[in-house]
Amino acid sequence: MIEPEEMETVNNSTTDRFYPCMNIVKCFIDSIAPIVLESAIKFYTTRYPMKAALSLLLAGLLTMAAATAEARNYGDPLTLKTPTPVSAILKNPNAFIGKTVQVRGLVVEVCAKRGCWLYLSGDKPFQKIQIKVVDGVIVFPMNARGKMATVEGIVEKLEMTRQQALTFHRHMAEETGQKFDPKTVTGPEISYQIRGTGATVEGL
Amino acid sequence: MNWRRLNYALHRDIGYISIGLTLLYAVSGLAVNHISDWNPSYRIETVQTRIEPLPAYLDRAEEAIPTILKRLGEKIEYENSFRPDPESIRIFLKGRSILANLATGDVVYDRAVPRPLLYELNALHLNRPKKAWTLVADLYAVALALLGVTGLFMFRERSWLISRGFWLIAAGVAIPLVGVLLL
Repeated sequence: MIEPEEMETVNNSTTDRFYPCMNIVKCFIDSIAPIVLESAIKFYTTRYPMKAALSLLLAGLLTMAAATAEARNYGDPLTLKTPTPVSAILKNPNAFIGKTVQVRGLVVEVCAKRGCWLYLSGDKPFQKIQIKVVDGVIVFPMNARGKMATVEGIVEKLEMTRQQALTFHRHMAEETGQKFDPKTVTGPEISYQIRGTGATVEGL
Repeated sequence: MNWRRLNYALHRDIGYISIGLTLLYAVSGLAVNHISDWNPSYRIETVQTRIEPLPAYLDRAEEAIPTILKRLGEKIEYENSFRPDPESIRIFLKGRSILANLATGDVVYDRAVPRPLLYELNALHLNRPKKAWTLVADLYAVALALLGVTGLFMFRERSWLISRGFWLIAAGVAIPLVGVLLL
C-alpha cells in the first residue's frame, strides 16, 4: 500500500528547485517557529495578561474567519429548480449557448493553481464539462475532487485553432500537474464550457 | 494637538495596525505573482505504479474497483469513481485519487498537499472567506489610502520642492503612471 507520506514528489520538483528559499521557510516553520512562539506566549501572558487576552481574542477572530474559507456554497446562490443533464448539453450544445443552466455531477478535476475551474462528470460514461469561473470571484478548493456538486452558469462555445488548443491543453496539464503529450492535439478544436456563477459542493 | 502631530500619530498607528495584513499580502502577493512558475497553494504529488491489467472489466470498470484497491493494498473504501475514457477509471479516496488503466495496469496516484502557511495566506489574499474578509480587506484598503495621504505630509522642509520627500513621492507616483502609459 502506498501511504500519502511515501509518495514521491514528481511534479513540484521543478518548481521547488527554482525556489530553494521555500525549503528554508518550511524548515523554520516546522522546527524553530513553534519554540519561539511558545516562549513569546509564555513571556507575554505572564507580563501583560490583559494584552495577551486581547491578542488571544484577535487570534480567535482570525481563526474563525479563516475557518469559513471552506464554505460549501460558492458565488451567487443557485436559482434554477431542476438541473439539466450534461449529456443533453453536450448532445445539442448550440441550443444551450448563452442560456443559464444548472448542472449536477461529480467533481473530477479542479484547477490546482487558482481554483478557477473544475470539471463536472456527466450523467453518461466518459462525459465531463468544464465549469470556468472568474479568477478570485470563486475559488474552488482541491478537496472538492470526488465530491458531488451543483453548478449554475451560462453555456459558452470555445473555438480554438490548433495552436490555441495546444496552449490550452498544455496550460491545463500544468495546472493539474499532469503530463502533456502534444500529439493528442491534432487540429482546431471546438469545446463547450459553462461560465459558472454559483455552485454548491457537497460533503466539504 | 496641532495637525502635524495628529498626522504623524495617524501615520504611525495606522502603520502599526497594518503590519500584519501588509506582511500577509506581501508574502502571498509574491507567491501568487509567480503563479505561472509554480503552484503557490498546493504541492501536487504523484507516484506511478503498476498492477496486473484487468481487461475483462473494461465494459464494467466500476466492478473492478475492489480488485484494483486490493491489488494496491488499499482498504476497499472509496468516495467516488469516474471513467474519463473507455480504458481508465479514476477512484477518489479520501485526500487522494487513483487513475488506473485497466488495459495496461498503469496506476497513477495523486494528491494535492496544501503548502504550510502559504495556503492559508493565499486563501485570505484571494478572499476565499468572502463576506467577513471582504470587510477586513476594505478596511485595510482604507488604511493604506490613509497611510499614503498622511505620508504626504510627513516631511517638514519649508522648501518642499527641493526636499527628498517630494522627489521620492514623485518617483512613487511615476511608477504606476508609467505602467498605465505602457498599457
